[in-house]
Amino acid sequence: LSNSTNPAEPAQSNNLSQIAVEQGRAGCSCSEAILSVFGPLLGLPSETAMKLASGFGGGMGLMGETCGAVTASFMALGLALGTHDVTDTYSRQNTYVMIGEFADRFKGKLGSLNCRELCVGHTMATPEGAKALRASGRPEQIIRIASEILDQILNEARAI
Amino acid sequence: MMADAPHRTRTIDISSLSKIAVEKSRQGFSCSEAILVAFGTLFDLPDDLAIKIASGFRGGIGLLGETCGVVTGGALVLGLAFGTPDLKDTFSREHTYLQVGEFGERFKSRLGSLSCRELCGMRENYTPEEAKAVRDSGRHYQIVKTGAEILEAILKNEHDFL
Repeated sequence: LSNSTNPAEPAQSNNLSQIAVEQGRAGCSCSEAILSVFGPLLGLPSETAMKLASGFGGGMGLMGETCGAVTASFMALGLALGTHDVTDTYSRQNTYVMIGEFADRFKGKLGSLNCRELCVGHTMATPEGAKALRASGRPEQIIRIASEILDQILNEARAI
Repeated sequence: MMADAPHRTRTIDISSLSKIAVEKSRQGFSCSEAILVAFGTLFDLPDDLAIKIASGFRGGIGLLGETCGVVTGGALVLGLAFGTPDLKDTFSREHTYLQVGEFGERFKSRLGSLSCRELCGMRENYTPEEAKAVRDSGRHYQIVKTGAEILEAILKNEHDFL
């Protein structure tokens, strides 16, 4: 029996993504918004989730490197699909395949995985710059798209 | 002053953690996993959670050749050390960014780059064989050791850690 016609599924997807967006509006960075929603679903206490994600805002420590929504999604995929057993090559490979899939879909929608490129014309290095970036709505859009893709992939992998 | 963190285990010798990280790396853990599993013990992060959370950062974030796993692993550790779940605690939030930025600066000045591709001379989208070739070169042991030593220094420098 196919689940694809179940109307509850898209509603639930929208819900997780919506909660992540609201976390962003409440003041979370992109990485915190994602991991604070998906981490607890995958066994990570929410306080630990917030702390682990806290260094990844602004492309990691405001360095403009990989987007925090992407790094936090990879943490979630590692939690969902990864293993602590170094000899479990199947799970290790599978995690990378799904991460690659996430990266492809994210890039397909937004063009880049890089914070600086995603937020071109903005700077996070000053409080005014960070405020202007928030006001532009770009982080919110990135959080929404990342959490939708993450939710899809976790569902496809039957991890949530 | 930062709030007391009762979960922090103070009996661990920070100076021993870079050796443990290199040892984990030799056991087959990726750079990000080796860093977080070694330093996560300071914050009572269970080993299996540490390894899973860090597992996606191998090979420059999901084998993409982007940011080095030692750097992302370091950012995870610094978040545990200085981060806060309290969005109103702007001091701790900014302090975490500063420490991650400081870690990045020191790492770059010691090793020349934050990029896995540049550090290990590998192209984008590693094949398993290429990832194995990097592993066999032993280059990443040096990167794990250097990154872990920088983390030790940053953590030791914060008074409430000793």
